[in-house]
Amino acid sequence: MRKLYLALRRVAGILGLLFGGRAAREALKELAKIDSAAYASRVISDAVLLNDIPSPSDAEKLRMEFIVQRLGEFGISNIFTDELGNVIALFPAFGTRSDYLLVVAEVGDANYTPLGNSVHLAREHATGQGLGERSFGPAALLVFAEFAQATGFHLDKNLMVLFTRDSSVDEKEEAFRHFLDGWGDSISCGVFVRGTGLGRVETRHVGSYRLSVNVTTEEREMLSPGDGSSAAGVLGGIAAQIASITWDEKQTAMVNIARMEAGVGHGHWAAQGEMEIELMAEDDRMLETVKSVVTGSITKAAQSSGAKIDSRVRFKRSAGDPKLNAPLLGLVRSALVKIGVKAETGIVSEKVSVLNERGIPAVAVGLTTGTTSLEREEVDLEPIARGFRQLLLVIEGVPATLGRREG
Amino acid sequence: MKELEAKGKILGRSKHSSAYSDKKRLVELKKEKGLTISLAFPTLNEEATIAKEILVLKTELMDRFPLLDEIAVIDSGSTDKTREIAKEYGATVFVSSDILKGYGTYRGKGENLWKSLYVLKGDIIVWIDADIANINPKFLYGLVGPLLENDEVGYVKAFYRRPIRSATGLTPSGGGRVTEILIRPLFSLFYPELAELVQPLSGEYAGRREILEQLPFSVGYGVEVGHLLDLYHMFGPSIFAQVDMDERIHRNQTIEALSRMSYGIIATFLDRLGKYGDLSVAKELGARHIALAADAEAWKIVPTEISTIERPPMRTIPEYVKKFPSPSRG
Repeated sequence: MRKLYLALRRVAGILGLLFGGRAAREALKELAKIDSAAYASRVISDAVLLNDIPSPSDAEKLRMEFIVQRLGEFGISNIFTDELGNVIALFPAFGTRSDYLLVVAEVGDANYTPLGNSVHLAREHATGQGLGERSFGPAALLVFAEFAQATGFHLDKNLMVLFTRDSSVDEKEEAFRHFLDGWGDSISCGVFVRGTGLGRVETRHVGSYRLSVNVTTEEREMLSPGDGSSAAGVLGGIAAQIASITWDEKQTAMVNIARMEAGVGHGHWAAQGEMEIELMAEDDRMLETVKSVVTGSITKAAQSSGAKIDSRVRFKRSAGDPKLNAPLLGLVRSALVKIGVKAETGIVSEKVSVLNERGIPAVAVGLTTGTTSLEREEVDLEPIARGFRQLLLVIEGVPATLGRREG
Repeated sequence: MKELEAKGKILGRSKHSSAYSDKKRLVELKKEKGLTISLAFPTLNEEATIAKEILVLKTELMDRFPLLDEIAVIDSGSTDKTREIAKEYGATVFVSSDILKGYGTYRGKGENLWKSLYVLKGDIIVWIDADIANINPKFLYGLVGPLLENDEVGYVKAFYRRPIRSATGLTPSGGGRVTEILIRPLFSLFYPELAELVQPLSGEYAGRREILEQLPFSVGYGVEVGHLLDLYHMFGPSIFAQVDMDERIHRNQTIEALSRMSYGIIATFLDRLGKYGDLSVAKELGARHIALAADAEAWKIVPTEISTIERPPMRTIPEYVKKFPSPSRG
């Protein structure tokens, strides 16, 4: 079905190029006159509505239904969905090119609560749990789709808009990887739309492993004869050992003991416990070295303590490819200069790393600025218009930057 | 999503808001019928929620889909930044006391609604409370939909689940306490057909101007029940429709506030019973709500003045007739 659609679309594209090329060029001239500020209120409104929708749901169905309905309301007809919750909208250009520029945003919020997520809007800020990181990104992408449909922004480049599950509700990126399995060969580059992080140029590549370690020891009455450590003692020993390692002089790798829990409390021997460990490194080779050392330490601890230790890799994220993304990062810096926002460096987003794994160059674009704490996110409203303009500048600039403009 | 079983006239006109979610179709219907639609928020210190309500409804139903023709705030004299914020987000702001000054001013939601009829321009008037935390466009298109689709419908009420805020978050039910404890028993006794209204006191409703301008408005808490009883006697139950908006999260009132509210509602209810001859025994109403509060030594009476003043039909106001000379479309 997908291949048939793409073949038919190419035929339509050739006809469009023959008979509608001038219309496309005129549409692009008109684009320069468009005031992106007019779209800022739409982004805020859609972010408010998205943030209110309960999450997570099965395949993020509830929020994706909102998105599909919205795309339909904009008059977009080339919409595809899959069983993992991906929503794809295609914007074919005139011409014969078959590759697509992917613009992607994440949907879903593992920490949703009805009251916490309810947005409070003031003059300069909006507050609400999950608002900046979980809702402004997809809202900006929705409004971008509306903009492209209304203006013909896509007529000189094939665009693919994707709403996929947020890493907070899909830590293994199963939905995004499933999408790439089906569509990856049609994608020439990716732009990841983030709600916050305006000005952040993602140059710091960090790969990671997340491990879960479960420890079980024999039950023991307090003050009764016996030897060996409790589960808490075993976990503490492992943590102390791996946390003390200096991996390299430049500290391009580290181990983070993210969570540790054992026992039920005073008066009870801690016979069971679990620990979550995060391994991070700036390149994949170093990451594998760290993983090897850590899993070796865990195995050794199991042997010496006599405890039963199960460790498993919850997921791995590769560090990505700095060389692949370099031209696009230059494009982001240039767009930031044009909108008057100072650039700063940041860690590469997971979606960008996953695209890099497939050899696809990618870059992240932040919509606005804000502050985030565990229970509260405050998003700045004033920069949204500039952030949206930046998104348009980056997407508009990609074909020339990668030497792939349709003609 | 399930439609209510159509047992009676009002339940037969009860739909879920999703039945009206095709906004393009509603815009076309509005154009075909040559109607204009106005939205007003009655406000008093609503700076926490008013910006969100205006932004979402304006963006969705004025900018994207031109269903609404105007958004206004009728303010009772807020001491916070309600008026400034509302203006900044694109609403036309009126201070209630500045409207029809010759008729004095009273404090109360009903007063704001009554005066909004004079300043709003639309053929269809929508009133939405300004304290909704989970505002959604369906609150508006759901109310307007039945009026655009069915010329016989003149007045549409919203209903929804009303979770109560608690220390642990939201408790699924328990909202609408005055409805269940006071109104439903009264309706069941005197007007069983009106008991088909799921939430007769909901603060979100819409009506046609030519109908609303014929109604007296209680200035306080009795405005909703007064409307329902007057419309029922003037037009019968077929004038009503109601729409399910799923859930409404809002500020919950204290039990003391609910007691005062009940007092105002009962005052209006008893007045209508007398007016329409539905109750043979009439008794002069007290002028105050009496509550009891305990201090260190004893219980004491806490009287609160609650207005039972009533505004006349707008059609009887000369200034209004001058501004809207011919009776509205029937």
